[in-house]
Amino acid sequence: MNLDERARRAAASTREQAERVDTDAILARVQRSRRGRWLAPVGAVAAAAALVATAVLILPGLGSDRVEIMPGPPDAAGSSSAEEPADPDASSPGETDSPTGSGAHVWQRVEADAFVGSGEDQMRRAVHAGGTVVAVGASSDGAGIWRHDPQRPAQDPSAWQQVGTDLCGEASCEVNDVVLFGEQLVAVGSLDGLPKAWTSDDDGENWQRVDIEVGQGQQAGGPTALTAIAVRGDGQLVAFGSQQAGEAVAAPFALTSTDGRAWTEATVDFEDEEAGAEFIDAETAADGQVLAVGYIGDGTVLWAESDGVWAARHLSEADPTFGVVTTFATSLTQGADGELLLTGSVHGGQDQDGHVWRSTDDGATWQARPEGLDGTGDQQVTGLFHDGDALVAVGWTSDDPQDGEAFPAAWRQEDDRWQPTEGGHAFEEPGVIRAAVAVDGHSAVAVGSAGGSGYEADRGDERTDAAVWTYGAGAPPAQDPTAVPGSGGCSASDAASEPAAQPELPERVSEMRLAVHEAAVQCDLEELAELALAGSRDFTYSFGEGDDPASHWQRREGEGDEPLLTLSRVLDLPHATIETQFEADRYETVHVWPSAFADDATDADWDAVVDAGLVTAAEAQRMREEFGGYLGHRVGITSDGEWVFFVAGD
Amino acid sequence: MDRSTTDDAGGFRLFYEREITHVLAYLIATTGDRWVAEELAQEAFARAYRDWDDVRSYDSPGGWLHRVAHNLAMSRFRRLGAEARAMLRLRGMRRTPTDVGPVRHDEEFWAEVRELPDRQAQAVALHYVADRPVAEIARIMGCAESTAKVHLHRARRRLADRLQASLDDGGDR
Repeated sequence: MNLDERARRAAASTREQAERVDTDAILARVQRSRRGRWLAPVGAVAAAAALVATAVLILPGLGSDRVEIMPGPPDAAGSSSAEEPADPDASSPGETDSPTGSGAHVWQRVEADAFVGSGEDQMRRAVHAGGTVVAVGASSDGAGIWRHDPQRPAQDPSAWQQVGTDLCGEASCEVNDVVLFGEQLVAVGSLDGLPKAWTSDDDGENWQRVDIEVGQGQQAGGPTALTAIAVRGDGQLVAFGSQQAGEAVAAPFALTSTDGRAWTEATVDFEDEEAGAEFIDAETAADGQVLAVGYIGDGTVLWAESDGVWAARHLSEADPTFGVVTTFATSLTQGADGELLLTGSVHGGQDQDGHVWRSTDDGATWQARPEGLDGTGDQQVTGLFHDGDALVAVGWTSDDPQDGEAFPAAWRQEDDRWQPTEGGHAFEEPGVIRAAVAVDGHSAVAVGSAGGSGYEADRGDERTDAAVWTYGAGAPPAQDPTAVPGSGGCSASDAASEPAAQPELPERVSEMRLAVHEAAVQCDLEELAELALAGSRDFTYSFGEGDDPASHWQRREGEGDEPLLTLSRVLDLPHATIETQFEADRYETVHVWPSAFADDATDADWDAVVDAGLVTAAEAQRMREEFGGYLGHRVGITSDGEWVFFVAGD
Repeated sequence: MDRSTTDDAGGFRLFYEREITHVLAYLIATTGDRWVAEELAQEAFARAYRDWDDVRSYDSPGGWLHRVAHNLAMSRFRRLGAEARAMLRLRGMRRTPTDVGPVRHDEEFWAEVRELPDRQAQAVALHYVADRPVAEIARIMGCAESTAKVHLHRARRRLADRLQASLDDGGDR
């Protein structure tokens, strides 16, 4: 058959397919993309719709002026899926989490405006240099480089900023790895399908782009990217990359440089061009040579240089715990005493178990580290750092891999076994930790992505934000959980004694508001409970909690949350009224704080909740765009003066 | 109700209706995945919608749209990263393929096209599916017309070889 004839038939068939697509639905989604921001794809839209549908059932005022309220707690037993939010009262959506964790190991999620983009944003690697942490990855709004102000703690959201945003222009750009090279930082990645390096002489504050010529890549024309970089013992930089020649086939290449600016292509012995090969990560071994982990076909290999040629060895030959084609390597790190540590997972047929392998002979032989990464579902280890003498592994877990939900996770080596470290609120939302870097002997910064549906996001299927978690030593600054209610000493102790005057309120509403506020700032949980339960209507204070209001708030205060301070702040904000339904066919007016909860909330209303510290600007933006309303802490008092809810979440 | 559904200010809806099938077909051909194609088309149009006041003034808004769509497709692929591609391979070992419908006679052709170097694949898809003249293909690809012709010529030769099809001269002129 003639090629043109065949091509035209294929094109006609494809156009027929396109004509069967529901283009009206696409247009509707385009038009709903407020201010043109990236709109969640089909799955995320469905999830968001489900959330809003849930919210309409359980929240007064969201999505409609007249909606039903479900006063009792819905069944939220153990669910953490997007469709069934887990314990929304325990942490308001997107809240910067209070430190939690077991004993001295505390994880905190940092949610900064700088991490929120308009598409698939993620951090992939990080480096600690000059007192600051620089993270690199992909950003939909510019170069994927973030940096935290070394004068401020890493867990301070305002300390983080995106840098080098002018390095990519309108082109597609991603940064895959970064290394400290003397006084300089050198990052590698790609821009518009071509390999690039970026250098910084001021600890990552300013960056310069370096164009790199790769003969093989340029001639073949496929997208080419640098994926890993390391510093050799002789002071040379070695960077690794690959050029795509199809969805599953890539041709690898290696480059060397003495200054990060001029690069020379090295020879890579590529044993099977049909299988393709890739580099994943690179590290300097104790003897100064650079090693790289990667793939040839589906087999995990370790690349090493010999006589100027990079050659690979299949790791399945080095240790039987490496599957021949089932090992998924993620990082290569130098550990204590010169050992090399390789992270990843092995697919066991039904699920995926995390693994850490150790080599004490520069990669010649490997042994699997202690057990403990083989729980139900999938585990993936993506990075390591030391906390004192103990090793901490980071990555993600998924109880139900088929639904694509993954959550950040960390494990600590204790008694020759990996034990999960309690992430608390920090690991509640779907996300993936991709790397971690120690910042001193007992603290670290982990980077990755959040949002979407976890590791589905790795496939680029859903919107994600860049994400940072901090790990620190020391007990959480929790309050004494055994404190006697009303005895003084709670998060609201230093709050203003009276809220802002709101003379427009009906008398009974005003009285209840002032009484609740007073009890909160006096830390009088018993009085608060009495006020909450005094009315004829059920009081809603959490979803899925079994304890009474006083115990609930006391427990949260003990965990380091600040429900009483939040309560006092909420009541100090402007209010609105909504119509809601406590009984069938009977709507009642409820006065609700803050006014951002109302359907017709203005920008000023949203600014007020941000200024009060109830949500960050980024969280507010996300609530508006993804959920259509404020979902943070709020208080409701009926017109006849009954306090009916103090909740957060959806 | 927003502007385009009330009075179609600036003709965005008209633009959408004119281009959506072309860009969808182009993305289906180049990505091989209808769902991904829908997602990318949506994003391309969302950007057009956001910047419509500027886009409408371009010489070829449709060409601009195809270029954005193509960049998004490439961006998506690159963002997967080496790690994620490895994960895909691994996950693919147990993943049940979603319903892709009956085997279509065009699939083999586009599978071969997707094996071509990116620029050649882009040129072929624009030529046959989007039905763009070479001059516009060059504008979309951001290259000279002669370069676009070279990409198309090489692509057709390689495809003819792989598909064991005969080749007329002039198909890429």
